Amino acid sequence: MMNKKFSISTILILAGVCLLLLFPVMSDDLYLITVFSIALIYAVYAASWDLLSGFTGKENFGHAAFIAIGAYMLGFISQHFAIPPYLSVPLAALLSFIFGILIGLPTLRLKGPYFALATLAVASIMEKLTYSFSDVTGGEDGLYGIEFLTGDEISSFYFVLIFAIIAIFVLYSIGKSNFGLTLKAIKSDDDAARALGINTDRFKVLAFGISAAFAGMAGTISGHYYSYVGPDIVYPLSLNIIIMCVVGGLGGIIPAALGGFALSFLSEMLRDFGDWNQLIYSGILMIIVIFLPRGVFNILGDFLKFRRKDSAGVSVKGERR
Amino acid sequence: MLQSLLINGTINSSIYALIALGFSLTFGVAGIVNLYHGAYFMVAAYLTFVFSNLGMPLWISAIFSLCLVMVLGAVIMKYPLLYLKKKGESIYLLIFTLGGAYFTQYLLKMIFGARFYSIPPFIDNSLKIGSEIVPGSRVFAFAVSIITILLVMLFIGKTSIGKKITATSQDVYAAELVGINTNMIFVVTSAISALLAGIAGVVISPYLSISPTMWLPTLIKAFAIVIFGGLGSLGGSIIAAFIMGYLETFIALTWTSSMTEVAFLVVVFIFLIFKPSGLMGKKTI
Amino acid sequence: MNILSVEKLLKQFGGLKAVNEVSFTVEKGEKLGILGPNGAGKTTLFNLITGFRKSDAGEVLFEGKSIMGFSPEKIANMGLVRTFQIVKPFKELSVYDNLKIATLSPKMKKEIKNENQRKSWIEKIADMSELTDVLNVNVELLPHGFLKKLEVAKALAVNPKLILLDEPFAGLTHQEIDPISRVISRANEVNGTTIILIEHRLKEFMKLVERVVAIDYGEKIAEGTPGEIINNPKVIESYLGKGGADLVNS
Repeated sequence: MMNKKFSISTILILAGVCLLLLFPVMSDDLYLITVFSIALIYAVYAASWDLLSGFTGKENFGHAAFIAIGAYMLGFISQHFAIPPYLSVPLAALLSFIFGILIGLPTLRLKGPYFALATLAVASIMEKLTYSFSDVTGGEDGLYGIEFLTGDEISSFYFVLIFAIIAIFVLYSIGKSNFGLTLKAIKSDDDAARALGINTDRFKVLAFGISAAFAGMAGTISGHYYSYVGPDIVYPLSLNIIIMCVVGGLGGIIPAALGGFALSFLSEMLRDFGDWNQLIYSGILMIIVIFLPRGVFNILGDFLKFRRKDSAGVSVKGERR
Repeated sequence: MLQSLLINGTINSSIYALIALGFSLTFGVAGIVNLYHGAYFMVAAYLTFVFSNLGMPLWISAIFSLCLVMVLGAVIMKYPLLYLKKKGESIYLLIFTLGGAYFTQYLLKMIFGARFYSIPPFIDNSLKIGSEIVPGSRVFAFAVSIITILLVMLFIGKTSIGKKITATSQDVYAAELVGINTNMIFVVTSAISALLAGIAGVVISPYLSISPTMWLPTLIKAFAIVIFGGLGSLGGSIIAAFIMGYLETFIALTWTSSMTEVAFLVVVFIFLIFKPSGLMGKKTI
Repeated sequence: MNILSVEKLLKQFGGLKAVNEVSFTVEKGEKLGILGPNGAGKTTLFNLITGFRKSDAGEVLFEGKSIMGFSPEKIANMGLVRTFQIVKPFKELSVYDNLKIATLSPKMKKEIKNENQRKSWIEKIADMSELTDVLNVNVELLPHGFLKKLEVAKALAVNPKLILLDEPFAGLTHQEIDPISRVISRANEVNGTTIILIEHRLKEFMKLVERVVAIDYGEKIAEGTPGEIINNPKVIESYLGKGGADLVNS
């Protein structure tokens, strides 16, 4: 009876990963390969948001700030000398981790709308500064001349794919670990967790740092991928990421990552519809929040599960008041 | 400089106060942080633009638009927001209202394009205060804001619906026990909030441009002012609006207008960290 | 030996003295009850002792060491653990995971070496708390009586030396109280855990505790064995009312 519950979903996900791995062998459609690469970066953005916000219930409305740290760090360095991904990615992880902790420390006690506004403010301040200090940041035009991820589209695709698999797997493992369980306890009731001796502040700040580190790494990879860093590919992400995670489903990393992958793929496919694209996108969001608030992939996952907990529920015979 | 600061700061502040008051009202009474608030501001401006271009007199267009925005505010509260509120997870309310605002933005962008529009001024004359010439539309915006704020305060303090609104904001459960239909109160409150944002949108459109992205900075400022003043405290919101309005005008006059929003956000961020309950907030977080 | 001594603890909210210079001591292994009408300051007293609120004056010594100004988590890690009047299960998780979270504190990380040990410890606590049958059930599906029991079990899973129970019987039927009462006694007898209990269910309360401290309007008004307390005129006046003693004895 054990382990049956995840088998079908796991097999489907593994099959999907295999399909992606084999895709360049089966098809030479470079356009689709590019679309997949970008969708994979979005999957990491969404998964990293989920670890902080989906697990602890603190909705980060300024995730783009962390992405910007990774992306602009790469942009600055590249103005002076070419930096290859194997150096820039770890550096981005470190820098974003520290930045995440610095933002996490003062804001971790804020709740609900206060936290939302504080994080929104951080990202907005960074965006405004990006425009104001255009001699350093390139302003609206952004920064060019960044070393490409690899020499060609196909190897870049594999680079992104392997990065995404590792990042999402690590985030998933963190979520499944005792650390992730503690974050869920904090989301449910901070005081109750403290009463059991858990230093909830430390967990929250650490979750901030880890979430920021992965967002920053993905931001750097996107900079290498486009060979460009600019406000248009960073700052609108805060909201898009929340939409992806809510549509996919919160608190499980994989559903959020799938939401990120699927929605950015969908949005690329809808690109021909021009303005309709974003209209449909925000319309879908509203409908999903009303009718499927647990998220598409969470619900799909439950549907594929053998529901173990119901069979155990029979033994509860206590009276309800 | 001081004269300019006082005049422009006061005009800007009164508009902020008007927008923040509506935002604060919905939060104080219904406990909902409505991120759609900035969209009411935008929709009212667009509707007035459309009706006046269809040949309606400007005044009639404005009043007609405001009625429609009130209906919009009532409908949004009655159906999706109360439904989501019952589910009890605030994130869905935040996301739904923010998604709705973006939906409105894209819809308007599709219909009108990313162009900037404006409407003719309600008053053509301008006013000379000291050595400063203030355009009539700005004076008008100031006067309407202040009168509206006073009327809303009177409405809440004196009328029976106003008293029901106060009772509901203090304790929903107790209000229901004494026979108040709180759902109806939420709907009325939302309509009033929408009206306040709508009035602000209409009075600024003669001198600021109408565009599909105008809702977001407005929303962020309203949100920031309300939290600065203390979530749910109407008086706190008004005071905070004036502090922020003067601060912003001061920075624009002495330094650069491109840094006003940064300064605004930095102040609010610092306040959030050190006094999250705001200037006059009763609720602890 | 005193495991806990509270000395002249004071907490004011505005002009109101919620806890007014209350002093008492608890011996190791004892079962102490705290009695008083609603609003007498009992829960505030718990909040002060466990660091959830800062007191204005006074001293709390745990095992002879001052714990004033310590954070709740630090106090819990010393082995002084509380429960809450309103149940606070960790939502959307199983009973097993709820108990597991209690074993993830620094204190338990020292006491539990590996995952096998953790598993057997959780199972032992579940067994002791009569929760083994529902170990894999999601807490959202549990009736109130089980959630109250889980509240006590979570505190026991921290392997506490002293446990403060805030109305563990509130809102329960007599049939539901019995098992929780058994769990508390068992923790005291088997593990030697010291118990401090706030409760309004007098009959069960008096049966469980060995000594009672009565407070009213934030002040200690009496102290003694259950038998002495129910006959104390001050306690009768402020709390039990006329015929209160009969109520307890019946």
